[in-house]
Amino acid sequence: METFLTLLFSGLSTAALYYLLAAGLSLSFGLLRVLNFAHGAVFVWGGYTGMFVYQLTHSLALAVLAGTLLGGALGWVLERTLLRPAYGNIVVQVLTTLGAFYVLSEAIKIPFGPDQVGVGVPAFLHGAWMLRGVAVVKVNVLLVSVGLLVWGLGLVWLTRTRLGLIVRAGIDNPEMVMALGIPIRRVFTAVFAAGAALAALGGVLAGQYFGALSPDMGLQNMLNAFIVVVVGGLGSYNGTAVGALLVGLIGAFASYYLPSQIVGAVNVLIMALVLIFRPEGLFGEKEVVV
Amino acid sequence: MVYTRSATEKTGDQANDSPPVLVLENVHAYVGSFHILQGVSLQVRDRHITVLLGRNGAGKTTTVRTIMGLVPRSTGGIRLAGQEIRSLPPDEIARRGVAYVPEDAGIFPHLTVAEHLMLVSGGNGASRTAALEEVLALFPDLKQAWRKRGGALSGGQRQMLAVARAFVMRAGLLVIDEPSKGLAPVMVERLMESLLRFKDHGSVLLVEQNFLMASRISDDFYLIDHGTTIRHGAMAELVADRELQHRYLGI
Amino acid sequence: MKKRGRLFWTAVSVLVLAGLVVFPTMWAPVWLLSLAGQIMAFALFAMSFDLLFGYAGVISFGQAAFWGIGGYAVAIASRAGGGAIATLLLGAVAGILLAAALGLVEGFILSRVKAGYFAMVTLAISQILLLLASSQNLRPLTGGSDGLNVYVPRFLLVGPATYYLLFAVLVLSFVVLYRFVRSPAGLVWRGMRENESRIESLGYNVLAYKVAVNVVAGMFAAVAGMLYMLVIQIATPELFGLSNSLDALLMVIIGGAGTLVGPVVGAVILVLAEHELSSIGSSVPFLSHWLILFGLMFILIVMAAPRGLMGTLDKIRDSI
Repeated sequence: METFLTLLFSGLSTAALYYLLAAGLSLSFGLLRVLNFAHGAVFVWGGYTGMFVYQLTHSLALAVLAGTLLGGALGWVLERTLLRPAYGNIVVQVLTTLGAFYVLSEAIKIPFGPDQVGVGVPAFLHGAWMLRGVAVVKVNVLLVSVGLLVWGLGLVWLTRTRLGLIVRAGIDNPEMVMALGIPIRRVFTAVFAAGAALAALGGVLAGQYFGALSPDMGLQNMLNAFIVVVVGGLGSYNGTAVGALLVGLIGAFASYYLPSQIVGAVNVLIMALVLIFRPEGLFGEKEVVV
Repeated sequence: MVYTRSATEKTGDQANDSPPVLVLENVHAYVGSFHILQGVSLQVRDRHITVLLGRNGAGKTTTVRTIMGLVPRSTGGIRLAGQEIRSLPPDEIARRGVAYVPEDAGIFPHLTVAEHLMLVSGGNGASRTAALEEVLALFPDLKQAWRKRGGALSGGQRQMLAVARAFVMRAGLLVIDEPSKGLAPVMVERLMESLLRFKDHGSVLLVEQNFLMASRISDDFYLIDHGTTIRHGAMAELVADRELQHRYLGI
Repeated sequence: MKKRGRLFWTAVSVLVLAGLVVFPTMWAPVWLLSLAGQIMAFALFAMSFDLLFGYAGVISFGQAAFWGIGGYAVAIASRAGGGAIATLLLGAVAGILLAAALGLVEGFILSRVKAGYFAMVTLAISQILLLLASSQNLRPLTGGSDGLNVYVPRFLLVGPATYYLLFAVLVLSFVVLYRFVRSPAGLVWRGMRENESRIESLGYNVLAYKVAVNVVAGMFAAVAGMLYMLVIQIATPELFGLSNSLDALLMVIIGGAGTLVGPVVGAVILVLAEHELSSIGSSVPFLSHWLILFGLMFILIVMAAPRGLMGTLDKIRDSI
């Protein structure tokens, strides 16, 4: 029972991490019909920015703020320079965002080097609380709370605000939103930047979670986020959350019994199965555009 | 451009009215490598319903999409209330007072009826409520479907909602593409009523295959064939001219 | 005019081929043969990718999976047999079959999903293979993150023997692939790229064609990976890395997609550039980050000239 609960909590925290990455991917895809291959690089940039700012200021709040803002700024630039000139041309967008992933992943090595670096973690996040023999790691609590907060705020934003209404309409039919006099391109930029900001936030928290960062974390985590999105259904808000839970929990339990490299293969296998038997994802609708 | 004599006289008539709301002059449009519109010219008079008629594939839908700025490559002149709008983005064209209803009515499957109207009622508070109430008075059906999602509406309800949306937008020009397609006769009647009501506020450019419906509510007609406007005039003339109907509409 | 143009290009090709056959007999320093070998291996790799990307219009970000399978098949077989030719050939056959099997699985997924998804799936699969190759648990087989040395049969180490072997395989593969894309099947692929539903409505089994193109491209990529091993003589997990898939993409896009010759040109340009930049990089620190320059170049080419060098040349020629 203790093992079960421990694995459950650890699975929930990886699920939260995956969720932060996958939410932006899924929302950008739903609205812009763009599969953003630069997402993982933004995650890494957020992580390193957070690490750097924490080293300077010893304030986790500032680290989170700086990382998230930088991610948003990166997303804004990427949307303006790479995506905007190529809406409607999926091939070009997929290729250029992958190019951006490559450039950003290499560029982060200039200041921080190609190898793994340790990340400073504030004292209040050290260690774990023991609850009846079950270890509740403090960082994990932070991760799960942020994940839940982002999910809840996102839901309120989508259903209770005007911008959220425009986004939902845009997911259904962006051309029609435009024909109703709403400048949807500006909404595209905002949503894409917000998605990137979430990925960067994920990066900062990943630094805290693993206590270390390396430039190639981006690809691995992006792939996991892709898997989450595919399993949940691209563009489906709650599907992404459920997908993150599934992949996070399966990963946690699998890693207890299997070597870690195999766990990655298990995730890819889940994705392949979903794609073969239900290409639109568990909660997605038919007619996937990409 | 080939205009019939009677059509030229018609243009003379129009000069007495207020200036046309929408003018297309020798518009060409390209979709991919296809040259779809090869000289479309037309005018929509203020507070009149103008119908665009023609066979399938004649270029009717491309014409209205070009007006809305949804066709990337086009040439010629498109003026709305005297202002050139051809190279403007669709949202800017819509903000200048054009409401567009595409062939499928452009209803969002996941948004409720209420949300559809909220999406376009830009103002806040009092003015917004007023606009919504006015529309609900006109379309009582929608009130009943208020919380229904777009995907759950019937074809008739979808068209009603699309027209209601144009009312809420307070658009001066409604561009509507084949609204009667697939509707039951009773719904077509209701739709015609709503379009006639729109005339109190503004003008309508209607694309229609249903000649009977078009002939009952339209003031002016334009015939389009192979991407070119070939005839126009008062609807009454076309109704009288069985030979023309037969030749271009296959009736 | 057109006829004269064809005559000109034939003459150029014959001269280039003759030059490539003759030069090692006169001047063959080891570094040059090794560089030429790398170029030829990458040229075949890029050609295999062109089949997928340029002809069938499929975006894969994981072509390196096949390249790595070929590489490891040869490396493992060479160690098992101590460089014996029979084991090596057996390994090569096994590698090609394995590549075909992976191509089959991916091809089946390809037939179920659209472009962006497939790019993602292939990227994930190659990444998994990278992790497996570097895994501690599989160290006895793959050598873990240190990789495996490749024992090359002695006769290939004599003078330009490896060079000629690679040259022969490359030319042969080119001819086979060229025939392939000109065959009725090749026409169907190009049709699929333009308008898939139309091809389907003409009664072609799109699924079968998609699986087939992925299998064939995968097999040739595996052969390319094997050739690469004969040149660099070490298999590392990085063979499966994204940078190799991206290299293939870049070579095809620089050279011109859907031309088969273009990828060869792209391979020459890219391998030479990497060679030069990495040697300059040791003295000019900024240039040691030349991968960034490549990435930027890739983005610019995709945005500005998606037809690539050969395609653009064709266009210029057509307009003259």
